[in-house]
Amino acid sequence: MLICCAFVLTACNKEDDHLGENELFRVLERGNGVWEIVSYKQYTIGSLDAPVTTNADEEYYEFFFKTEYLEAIDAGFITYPAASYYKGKDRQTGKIEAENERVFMVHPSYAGSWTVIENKARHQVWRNVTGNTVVEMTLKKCGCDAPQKTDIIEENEG
Amino acid sequence: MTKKILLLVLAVSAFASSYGQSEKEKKTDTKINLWVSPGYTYGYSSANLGKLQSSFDSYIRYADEAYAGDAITNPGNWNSGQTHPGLSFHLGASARSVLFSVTHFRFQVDQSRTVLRESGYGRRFDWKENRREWLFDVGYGSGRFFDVFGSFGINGNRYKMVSYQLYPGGVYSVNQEYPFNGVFRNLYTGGLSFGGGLKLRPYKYIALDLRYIYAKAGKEAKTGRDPGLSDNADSRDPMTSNEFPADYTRQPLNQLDNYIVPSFSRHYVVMSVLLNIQSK
Repeated sequence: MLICCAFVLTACNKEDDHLGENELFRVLERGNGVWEIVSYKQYTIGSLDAPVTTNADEEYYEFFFKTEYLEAIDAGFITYPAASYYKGKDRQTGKIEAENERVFMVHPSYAGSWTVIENKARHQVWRNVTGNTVVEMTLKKCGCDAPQKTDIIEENEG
Repeated sequence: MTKKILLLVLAVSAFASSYGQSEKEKKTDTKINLWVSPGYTYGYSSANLGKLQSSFDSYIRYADEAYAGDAITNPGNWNSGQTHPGLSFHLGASARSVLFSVTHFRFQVDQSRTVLRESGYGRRFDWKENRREWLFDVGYGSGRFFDVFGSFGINGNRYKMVSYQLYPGGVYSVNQEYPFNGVFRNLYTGGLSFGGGLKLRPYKYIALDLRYIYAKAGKEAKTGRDPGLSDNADSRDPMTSNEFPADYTRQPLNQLDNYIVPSFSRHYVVMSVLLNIQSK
């Protein structure tokens, strides 16, 4: 009975895998999984120059579980956390690891490792440090569909 | 120590059960009282974090030597005892003054240490314990004003050490630019728990649960090796060690026995404020 209770009481806290990794991904892919990139803030460590903030130009990420068939080794279907980057008609998709402290994107633009600075359900700030150059990307949860996704739906319906 | 606690739990349970079976009680109190009580918990707990401390001390020695001339500030030892919040859920029944309930506690026990050098560079370690307790409570239940019980059950815990590089100006990063950086986790570990306490019901829908819990960590494997705190992310350079070092001065770090197995027993004294919904 104790074991049964343990399973029941922990069911509400299940995570993607046994190590509890990718806990942030559950936040990112919630709802439609679409986030708008708001801005980029860039500065140099040790420099007296003020940080430069640039507003993003209609750029989005869509976070979702991607399923694909492994043809090369005929190993069947696999499902993994993925991120699609959209800018106009440009779309790139790749694997992502998203923990509460760190995000790692394999393929989409701004690939690499990011430190999570702010972690909220509708607002995220991630930081990348390369040498002395720091880039901080601000994202906000978007109720919209990503542009490319809208295009695909229109094509299908037409 | 464990045997003494177990004996204490059994003694409380036996006393409570015999008290509950008195003839007077049987005549006056035969209805079953059921209750559900979610609650907020706050308490103090202590653990022997010697393995973490040893690793931390080795980092101080490493930094002293590797960055000679760039003085460091030592933030002091990891706290063995600290206060922390938690959540709890209680589901139970009592009849004829005998109480039986199932209780779940969730605790997040976090602390952080920063080693800062004069140049502004340094390292921050964030230690996070995500702890769970599943307990059976058995004892005397008055049904109205107070209960006294002994507890036994199991605990399940996950540990995480996040190691950040610090830069001048307060910038911190856990990216792969330094091999010491990382999010080091363990597999789920567990053990047995014992304790006891009392529950007060000063108002109709409010109850207070005060208890002691000893969450004993499972024993480490005597043969082979236990999984340690490791960072298995794709972002990590495969040529560097993926384990949190037990000794930073042993270079290169990726030696077979240079890792920490996180198994930490913990003593808790906690008080929960419960929303008490009961049938009687």
